[in-house]
Amino acid sequence: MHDITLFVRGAVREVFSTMASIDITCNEEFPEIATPPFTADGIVGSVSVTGKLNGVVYLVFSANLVKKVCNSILGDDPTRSSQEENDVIGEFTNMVTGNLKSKMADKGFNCKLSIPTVLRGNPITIDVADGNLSLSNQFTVDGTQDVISTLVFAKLDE
Amino acid sequence: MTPKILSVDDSKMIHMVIGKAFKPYDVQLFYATNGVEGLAVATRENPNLIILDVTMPVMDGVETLTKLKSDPLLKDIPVIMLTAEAGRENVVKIARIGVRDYMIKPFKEEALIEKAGRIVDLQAKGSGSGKAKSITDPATILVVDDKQAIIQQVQDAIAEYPWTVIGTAQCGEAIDISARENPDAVLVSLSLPDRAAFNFFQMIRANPKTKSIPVFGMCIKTALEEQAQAQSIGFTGIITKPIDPGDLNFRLTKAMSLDTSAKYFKMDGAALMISRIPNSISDIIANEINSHIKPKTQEMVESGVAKMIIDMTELTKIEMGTIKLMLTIMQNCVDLSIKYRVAGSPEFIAQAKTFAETKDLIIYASREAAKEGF
Repeated sequence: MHDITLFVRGAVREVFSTMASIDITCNEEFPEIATPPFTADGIVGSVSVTGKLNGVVYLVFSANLVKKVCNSILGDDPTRSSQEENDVIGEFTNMVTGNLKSKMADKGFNCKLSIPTVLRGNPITIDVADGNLSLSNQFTVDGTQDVISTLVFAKLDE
Repeated sequence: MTPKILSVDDSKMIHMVIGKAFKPYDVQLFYATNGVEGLAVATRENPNLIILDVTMPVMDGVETLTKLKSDPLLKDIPVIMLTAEAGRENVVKIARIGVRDYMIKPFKEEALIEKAGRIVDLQAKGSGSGKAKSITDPATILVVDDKQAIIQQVQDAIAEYPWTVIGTAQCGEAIDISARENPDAVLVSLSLPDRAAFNFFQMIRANPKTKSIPVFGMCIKTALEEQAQAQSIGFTGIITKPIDPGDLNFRLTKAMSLDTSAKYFKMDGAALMISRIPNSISDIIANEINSHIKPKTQEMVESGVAKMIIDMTELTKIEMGTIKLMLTIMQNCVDLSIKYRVAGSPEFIAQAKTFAETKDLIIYASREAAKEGF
């Protein structure tokens, strides 16, 4: 298993558990190697990394999960704006990528992060222009059908 | 006194998490979404603590921190840095600029409260009086220095306030005094033998009763190593010798979160406010007066006071900064339908005629003259 996959798994679990008190389990059956293009349905947070690690980290949330996460952090609000949801998704993606960045820096792959971007669509197609790493993970929220996926399309400058 | 806490983060979610974390405590929270806004709010509100995100648009946290630390008005405000990047390089970089503490995202609310509680006095809501302490209230300043002349200099510098100075040359005795008297601020010489000031500081911070007391290190300007060490372990600030009385007063009042408005705004009877502008205003003083204008004029209107005399009789020299300040007070009076008159010294009256902004202004020769028939 690639180090990036391990780091992303740890980071996603920690962010969900610490910020939203939501426990998630990694789907071990899900293929680690993604085959772009990837088609997502829901809301996608992304942060770009540049430096010794170059690429983009994506977090793909189902619409239902976004509501759950927002309600857990900000309190129940059936009329919550999509802007507030975007803010939460962006911040989660930033935390996961920040965590990955720190771990990669310890291995000598220093990089810088962009400000998060959030995409909405049905479907959204994510493809990679140039990169030798296409890694994916899938998690399910314990006791529900809610799913979160992660994608890392990147190139390591070794 | 209610601590003011400023959260600078581009994420509304983080603001809400911070709001929720501090909800049980008696604090005033302010929010800014980037460094530029954060610096503006910090200048206006003089918070006791800033929680600063690293990655933000417009101006990021590192640039904001650098600007905070290079501004004499803001450099003593403790900062907790929030970052999603726990890497050593990143942490060392922000520690070098001078943060009190840092938190790695994701974080638990309890962890934030624990770190903030080491810096500001967090009281559960409803447990305190909530009344802001004023510059006219008594306070105790503990000065730890083996040079009696320095203790005397501090005493002279704060003589205009009802503050008591307790001086001692021994850190051991200072620890006992701190625990017994709970002083409002401590000044300790960094050049005491055997790094005594640093050990003293750590003991003060380790005691729950004294952990929130502002502690300033004192040293000569060129003792850069001692200054850096003191800043890195979290001293409230550095006072350089020879002591500048204006700077010392300003920094002590800020560190103690004292309401300084009584220096510049005073009621004369039940229906008249006097706004006094002192002679030779530094940027620090101008900024301090500026921060009081809006709240004081609003307070006047709310309590039914509708007249003000802007007293410039102490001024011997008129400068653009003074005019700007006077015009700001006048504009606030106009906005809130407060009637005002200006009194000035003969020098002020003569010089005011040479400025376009003030040449047509009616200026009374004294405060008493301005009061007549007003």
